[in-house]
Amino acid sequence: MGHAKKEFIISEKERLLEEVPIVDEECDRDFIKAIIEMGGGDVQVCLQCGNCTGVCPVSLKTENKIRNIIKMCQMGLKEKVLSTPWVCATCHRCYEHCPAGMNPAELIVALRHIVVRELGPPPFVVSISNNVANLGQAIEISDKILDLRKKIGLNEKPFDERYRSKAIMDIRTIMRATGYDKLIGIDLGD
Amino acid sequence: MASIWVIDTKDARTAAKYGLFYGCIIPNRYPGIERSIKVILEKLGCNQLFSDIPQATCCPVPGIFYSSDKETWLALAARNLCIAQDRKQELVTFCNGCFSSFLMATEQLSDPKKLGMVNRILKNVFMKYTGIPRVTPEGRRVLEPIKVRHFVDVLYRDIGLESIKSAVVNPLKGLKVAVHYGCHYLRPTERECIEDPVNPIMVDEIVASLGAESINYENKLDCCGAGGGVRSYVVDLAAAISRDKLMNIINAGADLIVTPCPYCLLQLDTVQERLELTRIPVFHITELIALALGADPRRLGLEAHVVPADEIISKYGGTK
Ligand code: SF4
Ligand code: SF4
Repeated sequence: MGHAKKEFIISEKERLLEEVPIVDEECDRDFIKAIIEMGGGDVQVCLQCGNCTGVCPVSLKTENKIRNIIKMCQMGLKEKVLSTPWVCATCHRCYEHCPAGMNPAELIVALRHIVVRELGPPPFVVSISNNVANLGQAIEISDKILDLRKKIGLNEKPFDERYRSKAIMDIRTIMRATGYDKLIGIDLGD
Repeated sequence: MASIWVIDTKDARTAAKYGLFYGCIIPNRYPGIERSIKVILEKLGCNQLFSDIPQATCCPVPGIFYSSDKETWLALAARNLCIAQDRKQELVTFCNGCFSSFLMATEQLSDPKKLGMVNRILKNVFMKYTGIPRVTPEGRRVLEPIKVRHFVDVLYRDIGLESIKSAVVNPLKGLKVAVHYGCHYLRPTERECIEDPVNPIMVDEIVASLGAESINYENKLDCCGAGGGVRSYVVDLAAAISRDKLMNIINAGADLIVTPCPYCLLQLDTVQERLELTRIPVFHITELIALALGADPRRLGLEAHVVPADEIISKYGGTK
């Protein structure tokens, strides 16, 4: 890796700069409604000033500019937008700097909801959700850490065994009640 | 409805003021932090005020749950809040992510519609979120939302720098520390407002109270790059963002990075394997405090760190 070289990780730029006019069929008029329904707020209030992009750590490193994403949402370019929302650190810098009171981070969360429902969840969401359903925690513990815990005088198992099965049962019950198991594709057995 | 936590009745009566919520990364990746917390509370003589919450589960992590289904996220978070509520405790977190998740949850549960929705779900596990009943000075009965605290805030405001200072036995003289606060400690400002979001000082002052020097560096309040699923989704992007941060820190001449968030710690520590940079150890603030308070460094679990801290331990490890 070169010193202080500007790196572009994901390039939407070429695709966006293709001189292909946007045709009407590409624009999904209901997209904004879906975004609002998912709690993303009204993207129409965005002034396209670009303040969010200027402070966004992701926009700084990629061609995934948050202002562009918002513009594409305004135009209803759903297909173009659905490849972008997991590339956001939810750091809320954009929100703090937005003169229109938009919350681009919440918009991104709404887009994620749409992606999960229409294209399916990305693999890491499935695996971490499964961990929580099976272990009560997002992270699996390794033998090395189990040994280390013992060595430094902690309970070997991080999760108190007296409560573990009840806690996991609770989590699974909640996931069933909200339909999360079906949404993500978690097999909770019977 | 009575809680099904039968074992808890005794537990709740003996519960301390603060419930320790370790989250997922601390016990499963950097257990030395858990150990450090215990050491600190003992050395400061306030361990009776704190107790573990053995029924707690993942907060749940917002980058996964809040991002895929808000209802499930809120119900799972409320389950943890209910436990603190039954124990009448403030919920103390050591992670910016858990802190943010719980703050957001308590905020959303103040909306009666969401509260009703969540309680309908929690009924299935025999729980109900109400908040903690209190009587105001005027004699009015009110239900207060669970207090969610970041340990840094508890240390700074409730325990106080003077107590820490007077408990230091290994002053970390000459140690140059770069403090990384992390995004979810600071933003969004109307929620995470434990201190000035553009000029936070609490971790810096804690570092100084240990005898070390908190050095300034460019873009101190920038993101580590890992949050919100970026680390899981495009590991190269997270690494590229971390790299900028690490370069600034190394150029500023720091010996050590200190953060109040185990997720930022995980990122800044593990990412150094793939970057061609000078390696610099990354500590959770509790590990640094434990070291200064005279904990046996061999029992701080520092071998869980990718970047070894041997040099710092041999210099500041005190009486071994
Ligand atoms: S929250 Fe996402 S879009 Fe907003 S500044 Fe942070 S990384 Fe960029
Ligand atoms: S800062 Fe706000 S108004 Fe400006 S481009 Fe970003 S979202 Fe739109």
